[in-house]
Amino acid sequence: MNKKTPEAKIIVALTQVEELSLKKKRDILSVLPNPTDWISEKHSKTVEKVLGDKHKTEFLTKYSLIDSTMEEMERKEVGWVTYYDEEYPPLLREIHDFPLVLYVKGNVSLLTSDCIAVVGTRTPTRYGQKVCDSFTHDFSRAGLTVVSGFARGVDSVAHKACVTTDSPTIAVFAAGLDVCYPAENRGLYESILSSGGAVISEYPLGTKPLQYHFPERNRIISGLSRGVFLPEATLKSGSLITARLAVEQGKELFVVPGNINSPESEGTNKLLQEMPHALVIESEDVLSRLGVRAVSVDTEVVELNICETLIVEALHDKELHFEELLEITSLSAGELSTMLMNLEINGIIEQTGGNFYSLS
Amino acid sequence: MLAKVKSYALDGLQGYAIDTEVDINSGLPGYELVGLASTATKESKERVRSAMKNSGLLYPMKRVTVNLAPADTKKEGSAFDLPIAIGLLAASEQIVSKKYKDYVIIGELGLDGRLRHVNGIMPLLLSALQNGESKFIIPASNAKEASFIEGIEVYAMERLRDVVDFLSGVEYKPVETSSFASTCANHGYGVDFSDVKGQSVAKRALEIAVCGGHNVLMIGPPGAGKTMLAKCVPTIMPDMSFAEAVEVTKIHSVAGILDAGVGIVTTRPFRTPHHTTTVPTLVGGGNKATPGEVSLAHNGVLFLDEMPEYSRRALETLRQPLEDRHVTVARVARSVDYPSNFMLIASMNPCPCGNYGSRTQVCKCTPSQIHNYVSKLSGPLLDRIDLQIEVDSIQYDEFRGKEKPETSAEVKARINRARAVQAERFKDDGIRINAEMESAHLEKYCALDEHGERLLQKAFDRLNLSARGTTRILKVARTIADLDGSVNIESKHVAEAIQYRGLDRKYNR
Repeated sequence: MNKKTPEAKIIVALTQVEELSLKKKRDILSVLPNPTDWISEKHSKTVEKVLGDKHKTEFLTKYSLIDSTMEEMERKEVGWVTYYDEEYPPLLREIHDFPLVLYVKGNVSLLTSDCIAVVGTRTPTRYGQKVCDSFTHDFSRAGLTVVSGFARGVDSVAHKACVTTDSPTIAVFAAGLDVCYPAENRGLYESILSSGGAVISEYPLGTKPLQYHFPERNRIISGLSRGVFLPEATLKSGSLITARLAVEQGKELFVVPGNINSPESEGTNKLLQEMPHALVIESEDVLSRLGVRAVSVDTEVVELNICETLIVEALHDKELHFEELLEITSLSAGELSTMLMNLEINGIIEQTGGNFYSLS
Repeated sequence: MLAKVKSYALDGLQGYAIDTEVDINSGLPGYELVGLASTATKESKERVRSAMKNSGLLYPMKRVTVNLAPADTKKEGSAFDLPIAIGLLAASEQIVSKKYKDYVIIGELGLDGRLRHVNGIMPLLLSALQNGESKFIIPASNAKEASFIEGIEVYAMERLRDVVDFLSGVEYKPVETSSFASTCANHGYGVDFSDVKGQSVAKRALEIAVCGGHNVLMIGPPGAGKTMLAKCVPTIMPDMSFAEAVEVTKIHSVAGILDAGVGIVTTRPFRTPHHTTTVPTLVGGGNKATPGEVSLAHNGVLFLDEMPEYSRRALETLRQPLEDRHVTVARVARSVDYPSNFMLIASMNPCPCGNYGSRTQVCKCTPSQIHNYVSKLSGPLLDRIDLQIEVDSIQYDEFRGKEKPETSAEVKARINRARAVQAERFKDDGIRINAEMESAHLEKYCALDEHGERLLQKAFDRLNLSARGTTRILKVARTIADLDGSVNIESKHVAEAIQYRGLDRKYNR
C-alpha cells in the first residue's frame, strides 16, 4: 500500500482525472498493459486516441502534480492500493471492470479477508431492520467481514450492527473518502474506523456522490465479496442491481423472503421467484453455503421469575403494549417498568417504538 | 395650603412609599405634576378633575402643584389618582379632618368618581405592612385580594365620595379577613388524574417527576394525550401552602391576571405559552420589566407544547431560571428579581411529521430532518430534564381494565409521603427535593450497590445510553426509591429509572 513506484504514480494519477469513464480506464489498460507506456512519447498518440484530448491533458497535469497529491493523501491518512499491490482484494481482481486503484482509510488488511455484502432498501421496515441486524451479527461472529455501501437504510443498519459489536466492516463510498454522504452518517463514519473497519472508494478525495457513481460502487461491493445478502429490497432498489451484478460475477446470492403485501419486499420476493435457490431463512443457510462454520454464542443463562416468565410467554408470538402487559401481569406500572427494563438489558425483549414490546 | 398623602408604588414585587404632596397657590389656574410621572400617571389630572366634579366636589381654580416624592424614580400607572384627589381636597380644605394622614391610599379614578381596580395590591400591601403601615384605603374591587392579609385594617371603597365621607368621620366597615382554607375548598382544578385512561407509563413517570421535582419531556405523536396528561400534573402536586399561594398571588397580581373575585391563587399555576412566544414574554421584560411566563408558573407547571418549535433563543433563556429558580430582569431604568420555581413539562413529536417510530403510520421525514428536529433541543437544556417518556396514541377501550384509574388524591398522598422523606433527608443540606441535588449530594445519598452498578453498566452497553445521563438516572432512581419507601437505591429502582431515558433510547439506535 501507499507505494510510490513509477507505475503506482501513473495509475493513481489516471484515477485522479475527473469524470473519466470506467470504459476508458479499462481500454487504456487493455491497449497498453504497462502503465509506464501511458506517459512515454512513443505511445502519446495511442493514449490520446483512447482517452481523448481533454482527458489526456488532464491526466498529464495530474501526473506532474502526483507527488504533492500523494503527500496530501498521506497527511489525511488516506492510503491507495493499486491492482499491482498484494493488498488488492483478490476476488475484486477477477471481475472484468475492476477498479485500478482503491483509496482506503482504516484497516487495509480487511480487503483480503473473507467478505460478504449486505445491501438493501433505503427505507427498511422493522422486519427488514431486524433481519439485517441479526444476520449481520451472525456473519461477523462467524469471522466474515461485512461489506456495504454506507447508504441510508439497510446499509447503515448493517454497518451499525458491526460497529456495536466492535467487528470490522467495510463501507464502499460512492464519493471521495472525505465526503461523508449521507451527512447524518458522520458518527457512523468515525465509529467504523474506530472499531477496526475500513472505508474505501475508487474516487479521489473531494469527488461528489454523483448519480452514476452508485451503480459503479455496487460492482465493488459485490466484487469484494463471496456472496451478497439482501434482507429487503424494493422493485426499484439499487440493491437489485447489486444482486444481478453478483450473479454475473459468479457470486452467491442470499435473499430473505418478505411479506407479499409489503412494497419494501417486492424486489426480494421477485428475485426469489426468478432464483428460488437464493432463498435463505436463517444465517446458518448463508454460512453453510459459503462453507463458513457458524459460531455458537455463549448464551448467558438468565433466571426468570414468575412474572418475567409470564411476560416472555405473552410476547411469544406478538408485540404487546405496556397496557396489555399490565393487564396480563397485574403489576403496578412501576414494577412492570422495572421488569421490562431488566428483560431488555438482558437482551430478551426489546421496545419497538411507542410503548410496544416484543421478544428480541 | 399643602397636603401630604401616603401612597405606595411597586418596583417588581417590592413596594415602596410614595408621598403625594399637593400644594395650592394663588395665581392663574393651572396644574403641574412633577416627580418623573409616566404618561398614564400624568393623565391623572383629567380623571381627578372629572371625578371630583361628578362627585359633587369642587376642583380648586388655582395654581396646583403635585409632587410624587421621591422625585427621581419613575412612577408608572394610575394608582395615584386617589391620593392626588384626596390631597387636593385636603389642601383646598374640603376635607378638614387630619384622619387621611393615617392611611396609605391607593386607587384609580373613573370620570364618574368610581374607584377602579389596581394591579399589584397584594405585594403593595405586604410591603407597606413590612414598613409599619397598617391602615389602607383601596378600591372595592381589590377587597378580596387584601382580605387574605392579616394584621391590617383595610377600607375598600366604591366611590370617591365614600372616601371623602369616611375621612370626614363617617363610619365604614373594614374588609373582613377571608380564610385561605375555605377558599381553596371551593376552587378545584376541573381535571383529575383518573380522567386519563391508560397511559400507565406516562402517569407513573409524572408521579415520579412531581415527587422529586424533576422536569419531564414527553415524546409522542399528535393526539396522544400529552397536553391532557400535563394538565393533570398540578392536581397531583402537594397542596399549596398559604405562603406559596401568596408568592404566586403577588406575581399574578402584578401581571394583572389575578381573578379579583377570588383574590388569591388557590391552585398551582399551569402556564402554556404558545411556541411563537418571545424571550421577554417567557422570562419577563418589556420596558416595565413585567414578570414572564416562567414567573407566572412559579410554584406550578410551565408546559411547553411542541418544544422544538420554540425559538432557540427562547429555549436557551430557560436555562438560568431552571437552574437558579429565580430570574433577574434587567432593563435600562431598573433591575427586577422574580421567583421562577416551576416544574417544566415539555412535549414534542418524534419527528416533524409525527410518525417516526410508529407501528401503524409511515414516517415521511428524512433522517437529516429528524436529526435537525431533535437537535433543536440543546444538550445543556436536556441536561435539566430528568425524565423523558414516550406517549403513544392507542384505543384504550380494548385494554380497559376492571379497576378504575387512581384519583389525583390517591397519587398525591403517595407523593406527600415521599416528599416528607426528602425533606427529612435534606434538612441540613439547604435543598428540598431530589431534583435539586448537586454532585456532593449524589455521592452522599445516591450510592449504588454492586447490583445497581452492574445493571447500569450493562444498560450503557446494551442500550446505547449517553454517559451524560448518569446523574439524571441516579436522581430519578433516588426518587423511585423514596416512593418505594426504601432507604437505599436498589437495582430495581435503577432499572425503572433507565426506562425513563426515552430520547436517548429512541434516537441513539
